[in-house]
Amino acid sequence: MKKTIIKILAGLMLATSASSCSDEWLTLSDPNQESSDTFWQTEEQFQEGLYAGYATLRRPGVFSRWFHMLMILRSDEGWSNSPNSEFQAVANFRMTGYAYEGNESVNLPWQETSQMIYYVNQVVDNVNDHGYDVMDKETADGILGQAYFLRGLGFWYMAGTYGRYPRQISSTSDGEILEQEGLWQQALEDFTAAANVLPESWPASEAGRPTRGGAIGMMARCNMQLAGICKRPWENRASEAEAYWKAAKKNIEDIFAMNRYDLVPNWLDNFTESNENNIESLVEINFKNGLVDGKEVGNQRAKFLGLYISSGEGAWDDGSARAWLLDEFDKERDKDGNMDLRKRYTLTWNDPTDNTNYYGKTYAEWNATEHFLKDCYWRKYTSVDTDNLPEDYASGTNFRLLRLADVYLMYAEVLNELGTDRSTAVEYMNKVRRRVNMRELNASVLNDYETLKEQLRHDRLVELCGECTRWNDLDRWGDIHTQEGVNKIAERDVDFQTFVVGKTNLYVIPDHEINLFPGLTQHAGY
Amino acid sequence: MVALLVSVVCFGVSAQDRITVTGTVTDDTGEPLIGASVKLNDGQGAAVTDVNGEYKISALSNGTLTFSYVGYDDKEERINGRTVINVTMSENVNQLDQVVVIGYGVQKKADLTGSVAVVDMDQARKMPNTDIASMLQGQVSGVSVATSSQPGAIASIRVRGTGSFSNVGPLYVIDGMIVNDANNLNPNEIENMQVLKDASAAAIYGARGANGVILITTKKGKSGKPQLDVSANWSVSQMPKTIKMMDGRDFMFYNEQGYLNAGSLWPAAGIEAGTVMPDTDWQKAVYQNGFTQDYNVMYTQGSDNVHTALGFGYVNQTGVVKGPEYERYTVRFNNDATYKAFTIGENFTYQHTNSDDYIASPFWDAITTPSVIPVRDPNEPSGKGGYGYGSANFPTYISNPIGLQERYDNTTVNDRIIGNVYAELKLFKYFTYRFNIGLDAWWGRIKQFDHAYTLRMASGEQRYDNSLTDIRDTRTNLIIENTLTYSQSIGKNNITALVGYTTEDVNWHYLLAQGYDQKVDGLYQIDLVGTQNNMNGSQQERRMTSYLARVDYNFDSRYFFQFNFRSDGCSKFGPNKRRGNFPSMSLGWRLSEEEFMAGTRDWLNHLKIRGSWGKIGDMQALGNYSYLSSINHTGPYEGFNAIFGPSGNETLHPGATQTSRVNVDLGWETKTTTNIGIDFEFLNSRLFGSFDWYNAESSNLLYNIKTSWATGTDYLWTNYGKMRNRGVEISLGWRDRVGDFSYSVTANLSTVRNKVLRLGDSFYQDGICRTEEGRSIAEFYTRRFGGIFQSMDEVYAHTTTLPDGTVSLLQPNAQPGDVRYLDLNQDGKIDDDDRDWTGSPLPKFEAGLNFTAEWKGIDFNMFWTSRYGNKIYNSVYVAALQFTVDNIPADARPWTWDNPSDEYPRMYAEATDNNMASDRFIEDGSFLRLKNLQLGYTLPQEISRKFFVERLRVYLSAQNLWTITKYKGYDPDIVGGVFSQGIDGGHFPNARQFTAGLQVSF
Repeated sequence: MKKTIIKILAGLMLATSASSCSDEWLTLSDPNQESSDTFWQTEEQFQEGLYAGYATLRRPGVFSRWFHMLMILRSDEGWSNSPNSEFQAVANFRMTGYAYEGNESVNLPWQETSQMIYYVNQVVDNVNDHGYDVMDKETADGILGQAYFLRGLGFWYMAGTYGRYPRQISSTSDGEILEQEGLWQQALEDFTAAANVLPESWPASEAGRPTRGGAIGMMARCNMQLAGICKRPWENRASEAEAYWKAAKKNIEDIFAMNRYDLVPNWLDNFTESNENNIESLVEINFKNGLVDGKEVGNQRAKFLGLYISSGEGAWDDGSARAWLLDEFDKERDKDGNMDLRKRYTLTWNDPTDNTNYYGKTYAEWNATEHFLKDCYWRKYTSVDTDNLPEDYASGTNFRLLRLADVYLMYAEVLNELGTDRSTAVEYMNKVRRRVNMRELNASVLNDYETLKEQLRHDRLVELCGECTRWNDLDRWGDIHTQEGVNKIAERDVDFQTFVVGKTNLYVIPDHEINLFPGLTQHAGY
Repeated sequence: MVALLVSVVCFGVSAQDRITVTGTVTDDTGEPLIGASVKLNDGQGAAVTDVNGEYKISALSNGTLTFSYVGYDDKEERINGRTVINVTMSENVNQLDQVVVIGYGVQKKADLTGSVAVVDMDQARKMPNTDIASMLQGQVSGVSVATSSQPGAIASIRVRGTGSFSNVGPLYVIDGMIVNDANNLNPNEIENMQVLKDASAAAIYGARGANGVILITTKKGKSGKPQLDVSANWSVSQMPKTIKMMDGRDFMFYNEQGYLNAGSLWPAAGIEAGTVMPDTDWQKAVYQNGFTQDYNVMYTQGSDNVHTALGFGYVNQTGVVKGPEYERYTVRFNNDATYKAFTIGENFTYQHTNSDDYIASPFWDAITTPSVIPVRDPNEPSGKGGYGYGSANFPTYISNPIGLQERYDNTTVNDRIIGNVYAELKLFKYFTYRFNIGLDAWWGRIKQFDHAYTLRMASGEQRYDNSLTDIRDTRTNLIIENTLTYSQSIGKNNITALVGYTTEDVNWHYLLAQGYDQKVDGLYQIDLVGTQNNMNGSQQERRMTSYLARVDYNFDSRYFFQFNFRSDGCSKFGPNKRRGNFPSMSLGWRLSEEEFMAGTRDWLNHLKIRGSWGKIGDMQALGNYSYLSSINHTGPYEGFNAIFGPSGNETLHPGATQTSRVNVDLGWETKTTTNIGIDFEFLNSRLFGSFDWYNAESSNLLYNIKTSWATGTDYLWTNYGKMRNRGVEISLGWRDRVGDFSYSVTANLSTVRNKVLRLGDSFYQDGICRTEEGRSIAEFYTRRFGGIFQSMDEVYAHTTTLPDGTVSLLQPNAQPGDVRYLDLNQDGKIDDDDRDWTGSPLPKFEAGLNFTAEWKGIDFNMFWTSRYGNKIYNSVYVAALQFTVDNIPADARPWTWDNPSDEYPRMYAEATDNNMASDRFIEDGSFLRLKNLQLGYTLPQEISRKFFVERLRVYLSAQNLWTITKYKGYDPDIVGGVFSQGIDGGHFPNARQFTAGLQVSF
């Protein structure tokens, strides 16, 4: 009996020891995640890496929410009296009191854009390391081109906001710190690299991937911003500026030469879900309504910029439209003497002739219970012109980051700056006006820099109002770099009373980064 | 005992006549002791007393009998030819002979050299707790317990302070089985409990014991007559206090002020005069009486060779707030059997719990919800749920607290088996081999049904009519242990040595399914969802192998030496740092046994000095695969999907990438503890106590250090951290018996001084708590409140003169009635750089005081617990004192021109700087609480026996009856985190509870 027991015990001891004696038994692999060691080996994996970068564009810090707030609210188009003080601080530049460590408006744009850059840098590094060994040249070029484009978008966004950010062009090491000009240049470099290898178009099923035309369009934008920097009052770099204007002109003419783009007949098709990635669109951020497999794929913009309704059907109206916009639209009637139709679809205001169905009721009907207090609210990109369903955090409407009408007006501006061919400039402005039944501009009247510039300022505003271009326009035109210019803006947007020249043209850098990124310092004055 | 055996060996045995000895064994009161063991000292025979306490044994006429009985002093009788020997045994008041479980073995309490706190279970059990951790509060020094009255919740335990940068509690070992946690364990099953506090005591658990070890032994059968214990108690609990809030009239007055001050139209101005407004007492609406029923049956039986215990328990509990419920069924079955040198046994428990958790914090919402909002609103516009909430007239975004609980049906069903089977073999006289295989298996099912009722103003989008989430979570923890113990006494040298080899394998599986829009009303199944939404699933594994060794040596029970060594290997670490080696040693000197102390024996019963040093490790902070570099296919909330394609026909392309960097050289965190202690007993062991000083330094602390976001990552695991905890622990007691009256007073006091020695970051900010090198962890770091501006003159006078001579107006936008903040860094503006250290959430000391008395069957217990010197950030009051659109405490009158205040700012209905975190919301968290007051009566046995009842006790008790504190919130006893502690975010308070109980033994 005893012997048998001893035998059993000895056996058990042996069995347990044999299975576990060596520490090899302690080596486990993660059954939930693919090991990095086996990734970046196939085309599919490189595509997956890119997709992670694309997905990041849909995050709140990037094109789903904060991009719109930073570009619209900081400009003279928007303001905020949101109970969430972060929105107010973005709009009125009074960041000090609100620049606490958890401030999403300050943190998310930086954090999520950085993630996107890190993801695409992995693609870039691995394609350059061995991508051409495992993929054919065309495929590898296409992947690399998209990665460069996405990275360019990242630097472009950082340049127009924080204006100071490290040159993150490697997935394993940090780059030196760039100022605003360096960031525009880095973005230009990335868009140029992208334009060199990207195809002019993708099959319809791939619509939304960047194209050569889109990359060149962004190059034009970067060149124009750089020209703007060279033109700043204290800069004495006129010849550099001219070179940038010329480069922009060349970019835009390259786009025209492709003969791929045209204005869509229905102006509204630029802001709704019905005709996305259309012939007018050069760069578009794709969104889809709702959740898919529990993952958010929609755009939050419309929930934050639109008519506020207390029972929740509408938007939060965390960012509102400035009243002067109404007047700006009213400066011109269309050929038939009617209101500029762009006003109707850009803003919502107390207009007795407005019979639009806003989430089930007209403005007047809502007003009976809601007592709207503001002069106007945002309408562009809301569901009012798509499906009129209650606004949620997941609008399916794509964000048109760059469309041909903008390129036309950019072209007009470039020609005006170069002063070589103002009548062509006017013709391109007229192309944009014709679509919306506005009267033809007369080139013989608009034949000097200032007059044309003034008309162009108006035309850009009414065509692109609420499309996140205004802030960079004001920066490029120099309005926000002199106290005189700022005072003038403050007449239409009181937020600029608290604008500080030389400081608040750049956005506050997150404290988190000042603390943790070696050598990074806060902008003077913050 | 050992000495006795030795003496028998020395005297030898001479042949004599064998006679039969009979007799009765009784206790002090003359009651027969059943199942007492009677042994011949020559080892040639043994007997057990029967139901009448009688025994019969055949012995040598000049032999010696030893009588022993658990809880009584052993008694020896020389036979000297007698055939009838009646013995009266006295209860063991000398706890020094008490055997203490020390991990892979036992030791006499008097022989301990490490810091081991033995829980007085008789005392601990007087608290009608349904979880075992709450039983420890205030009972032993060095163990900090934060409790709540949340149904089914287990109290949070810290042994000797915060020892890690992650929220890791002590290791629980039940009947030798290392378990994941002690959740849902039935306290009634517990025989005894010890807390291993220092490195030498806990070192045998090596890598797991750094934050203390709680050893639990469950009830075993006892030799003798079978015993059936039945107990029941019924409790009713209520909120410890009500915070008086403004009624509808006062609320409306100040609400209007808020809009007037902000220069905007009062939204409620349109309400017609004469309209009857709701005036809801939200606290009355949300709080209720909670009820607890707790029933237990324990049957034990045993002979010399076989012991059995079988128990059942049932608890049903509701809380002081609508929503949470808890129900628990437990089974306990312990067995062992010995045949000669061979023993087998098992310990087994099964737990089944059924609970409904609460959502958000009703203890917050009940305070801040304006009284003008009705609980239910028949005209509610969404038609979903019919709850009252903010409206255009009263635009508050608070969720209806009743609706919150009713919106979600949370059913959590847990099943758990903890069991081990062991075999022990005594070999070659001095050796014991033990094989133990144990399983801790847990199956959790959570079913959450969201009715999607509308609970707040402008709650906006809802993508579903209802939503069902169904979760399956399992964990199996398998342990195999082989130990070999050697034990021998040679002369006055007593040696016990142990070697062992253990392996552990833990597996987790998780599965979640979620869908919207049930097709059939009232049926909640994934099969019936209209839209499938979300699926998640994952599995994890952790493996460990450990070698352990221990040598215990003592000479003549005077000089003690212990050495421990444990080597742990864990799959959480990479191959380079996988194994951690943790040695420890301790020394003890029992002065009172020395010859030169002989003269003191009439007043000094026990005096021992002990010291220990050792290292132990931990790895709980780390994820199971944290050192492996991997590709993330899941992504954030927005996922990793690229969307391409034409309108309405987009295709999703799932992406993947590496989202974080890893550190392959992560290693064990190590805690080095030095402990010096004294144990003493004076005056016939009536005065007793101990004193400990310790210094514990945790180094290589696993810390997920923040990385610059510009790197594209957020965190990186490192071993940078270093932290020290230092403190003293004192316990002191007095017990005596005067005639029929016996009483005892025991008190304990512990201090912990925490200091972060290295962090890696310059600081770590978690909300308003900041951790910085050279300070204690998680100190409050806020602006400083400088009173209220009473006039514009004061606003203009609030300036800083800068070094260049410019005078900077600090709060140019402030108005009379606004909060004044101090420009601490004198830079001419108020911002985050003006924050200052405004208090520590760590207490200066914690203490417990226990008084018991007994007189002729009447017993009385009074138990106090206290925490002193800690600060609490009262987040609930931050919300209640916002003075914007939510309700306000009745005693906090906002500043007005007519009624100015230097404490409370003016109302302001828009965004305002008045609510910034400042020391205005930091309160003294010290408290002294009468935790338990109990009165019991035990029916005399001569009466109860007539009903076949051995013992019948009834009692009444009250918990948390009285709390002395300055704290304004509901309860200053707050469960802490690590980097963020002492914040009252509306936690579940300790309720005042009244209990009636019954204990019957058959």
